[in-house]
Amino acid sequence: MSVLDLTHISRNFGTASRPVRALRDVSLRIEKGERLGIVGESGSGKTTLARIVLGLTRTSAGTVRLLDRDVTAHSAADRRFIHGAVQMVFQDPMSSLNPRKRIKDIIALPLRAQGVGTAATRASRVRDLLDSVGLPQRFLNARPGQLSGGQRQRVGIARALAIEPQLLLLDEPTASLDVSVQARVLELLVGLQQRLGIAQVMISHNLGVIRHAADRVAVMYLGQIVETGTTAQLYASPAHPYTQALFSAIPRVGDKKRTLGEDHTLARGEVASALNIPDGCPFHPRCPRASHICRSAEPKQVEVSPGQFARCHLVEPMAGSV
Amino acid sequence: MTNDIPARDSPIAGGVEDGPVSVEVPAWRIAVATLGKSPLSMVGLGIVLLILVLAIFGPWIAPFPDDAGATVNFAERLQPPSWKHWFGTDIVGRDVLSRVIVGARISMMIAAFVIVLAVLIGVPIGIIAAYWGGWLGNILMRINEVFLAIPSLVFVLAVAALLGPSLPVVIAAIALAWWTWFARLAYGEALHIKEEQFVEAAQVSGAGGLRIAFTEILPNLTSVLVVKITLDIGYVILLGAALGFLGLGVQPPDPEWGIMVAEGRDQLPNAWWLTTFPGLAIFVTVIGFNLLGDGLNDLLGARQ
Amino acid sequence: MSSLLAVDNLEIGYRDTDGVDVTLLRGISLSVARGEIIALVGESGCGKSVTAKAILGVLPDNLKAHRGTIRYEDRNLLELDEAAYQAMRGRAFTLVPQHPLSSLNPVFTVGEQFFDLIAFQGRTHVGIIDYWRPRLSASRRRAIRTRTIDALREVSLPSPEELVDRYPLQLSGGQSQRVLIAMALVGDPQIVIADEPGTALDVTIEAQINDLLLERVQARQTSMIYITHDLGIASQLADRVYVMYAGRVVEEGPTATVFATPRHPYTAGLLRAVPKVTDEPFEGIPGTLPDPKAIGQGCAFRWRCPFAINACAESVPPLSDVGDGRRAACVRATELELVA
Repeated sequence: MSVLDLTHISRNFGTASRPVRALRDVSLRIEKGERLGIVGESGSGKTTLARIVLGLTRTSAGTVRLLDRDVTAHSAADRRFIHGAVQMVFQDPMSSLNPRKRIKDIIALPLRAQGVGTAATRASRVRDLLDSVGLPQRFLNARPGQLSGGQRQRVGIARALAIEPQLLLLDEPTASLDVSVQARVLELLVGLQQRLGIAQVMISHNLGVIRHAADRVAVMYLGQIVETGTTAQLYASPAHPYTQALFSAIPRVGDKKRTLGEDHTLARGEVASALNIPDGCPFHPRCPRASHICRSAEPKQVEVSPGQFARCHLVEPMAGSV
Repeated sequence: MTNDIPARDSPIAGGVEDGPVSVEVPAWRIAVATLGKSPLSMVGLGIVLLILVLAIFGPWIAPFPDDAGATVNFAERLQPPSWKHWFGTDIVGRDVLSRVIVGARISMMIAAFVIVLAVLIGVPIGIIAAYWGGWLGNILMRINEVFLAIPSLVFVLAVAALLGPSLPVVIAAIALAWWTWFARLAYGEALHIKEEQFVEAAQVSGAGGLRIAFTEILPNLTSVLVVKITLDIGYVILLGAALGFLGLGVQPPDPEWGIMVAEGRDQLPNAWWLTTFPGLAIFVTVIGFNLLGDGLNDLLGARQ
Repeated sequence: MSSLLAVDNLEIGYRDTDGVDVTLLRGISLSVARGEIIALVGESGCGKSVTAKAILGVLPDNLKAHRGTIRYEDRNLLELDEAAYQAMRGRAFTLVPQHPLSSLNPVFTVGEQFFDLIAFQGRTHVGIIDYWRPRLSASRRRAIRTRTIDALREVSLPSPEELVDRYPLQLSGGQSQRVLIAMALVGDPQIVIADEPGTALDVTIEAQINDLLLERVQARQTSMIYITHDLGIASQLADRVYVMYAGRVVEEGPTATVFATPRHPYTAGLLRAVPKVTDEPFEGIPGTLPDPKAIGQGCAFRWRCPFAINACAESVPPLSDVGDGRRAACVRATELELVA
């Protein structure tokens, strides 16, 4: 039984005559205890995907199965089921905690909203959660404004763990934190995942973070998954030109200082709008290797090595695959 | 100083985040500290406190408490201000100072009931319209706009004329005209707060709409509401006095400031004190609430 | 190398609502030579943005420089009046801001944003007649437009002839940032101060922007002060790096050397904290930035430092030479074996 099974998900916004195609035929499966990383820039559809999994947005086509239950219709019962199984850690630890509430009430919200336990068991659960995210008990009565960014994000993690979810969505959980703090929150997340074995989806644009927080990676571009594979495969030999461009765009510590006229394979131009997705391969206007077929035909998904798939005309399919 | 270095070996991956928590400063302490720096706000606060004291203890403070009612003392009619009657006496010999003091209670009562009603009606409607949006929000806000489009004084005049002038009718009429402003304010603020991530977090937590609207969004409206309420008390007092002046509000012999101004109008050439002192009472009260409201507004601006 | 701009022992602070003096910059010294690119790196609260604001003379009203100098070509900028400062902005130094979308005025076209910049740059005072003179002269208007289009072309914006008449909301984030770079460079400045110019943008766009900046300043032999929290970007762009912590420079030197063999525990901790794309482990720094009021006499990093000794709480370690053209502010800088 997989925790989450998305098949051929599409989602359009806007009007029928001017559709914004936020997601186009996305299929994903997450097994128990698996950690999936989703990488993408703005407009890639990663946020819409998360909202669909969370039951906050409906799909236009495709089915969503959560723990073998079809929750595509998002009925009231479906949503209750989703909220009991999927929780999320938000990007902005400032805005994701209600400034008017005390930490203990923030962490207890999912328990209270879903009627889990009595007031006493909830209170003891909140204390345990504070321990497990490395926050001292004296924070119970504090308000978010009194905490630092890293501390707040730990509160957000505790809240997400409160109802013991089966699937944890992490939307850039460390992006707004300082480097030294980010590392510790990431260590905490990795450690919790090892201990609790919760399946998790980590959305991030930071390939360094994904490297340590995911077993498998899906790279998204303009509403599609353009490449997917294990973290080891993708980081060793990215197949899709967009994935390659992402890697080459990352400045690494210890990189030599760039000099004039140096050649590096960066994606050209800017991300097209989801209102006006280019014909053929959606990446072709920015692709340094685009040829005429890329402009006319949309590429199919090709298996480049066992379990690694890319949507590109230019990659060589693995021997033996169709 | 080195002994305050935290232990590094912790059983939790990512370590314990035992950093200093800044002290929680109660909102009222910040309010006092900030308001204390603005003399005008302090004047406003002083006036408001004075009016509140008069409203609560008026009958015990007034030198001639019986004069608040329908007593008659023709021996002392139309006396100018003196040591015995600081504000003079009216046409039937009642002490104007006593009537002004006792009148504070009537004005404050009108204001308090109106604001409570307006907040109770307007704020939930505004929040619900903002949070649910869609057709429900549209209907609620269109109804709101209909009420906004009717001039409040005309509306209150019509209701008072229709149902007969009395204190409950005046209060109900003003509240019916007033809730729209609170609905507008709550709607605008809630629309903004709705976009905060903690609202989405509450949805993901499984919280229902009503819980989100009233336990997540509403507490974040309190500061703007406090400012609006403070400013509005002044305006409601003004409107109540205008109705009294027109004879459509509270009825004589109750010492309402508007009525007192109206009653003294005929005597203006020879007994200026009859209109001047109740008029000043209205003026000072409205100014006081405005100054305090402005001060509170600055305070909120500074904190954001 | 003689320096073009030198900040010496700059101290900046404010008085809080309780009347207590709070020091944000606790004696910053840095220098930029002609054509040199330096990076100020550090986490939030380290004072890198306040330093940039001080150089540009745009400190918020409540912040005051208590001590120190900012020297540019033999002049102490802290002693200049506003008019003289205004004349230097855009020509002596200029800013590429962090948030491209909020840094352009939405009611003016791109061309209009350049107009005053080109027409009045370096002027201390613009009267009403001065203001209208270039606007009423067709030839001046044409000349300014041509210069604007050239400036836009220099930052590789496609079809600058059309772009010049667009409004900022019609531009993408990357295009807006290119326009801002063009505006920063149009007065031929000596020093470009770039305040995390790519952080608000997507990864691939950020890389393009940084490439463009590097290419433009190198082509013009312009100096650049690049402010960032990203050590990787500092590696790629800067000749020298200043690592800042809690209002002080804790380590300074050639970028490659500092990052390869850090001499200050904070630099080493910061380098270890970055999650790499390789298998290499990473490790955060425990604790949080101290309250500026609580630092007192001593090293501000001592609470978070694994190597802290009693001496660390006694006095502020001065930034001193540790060899290889580097300086570090740590009492144990020469004895510690630090792993980056």
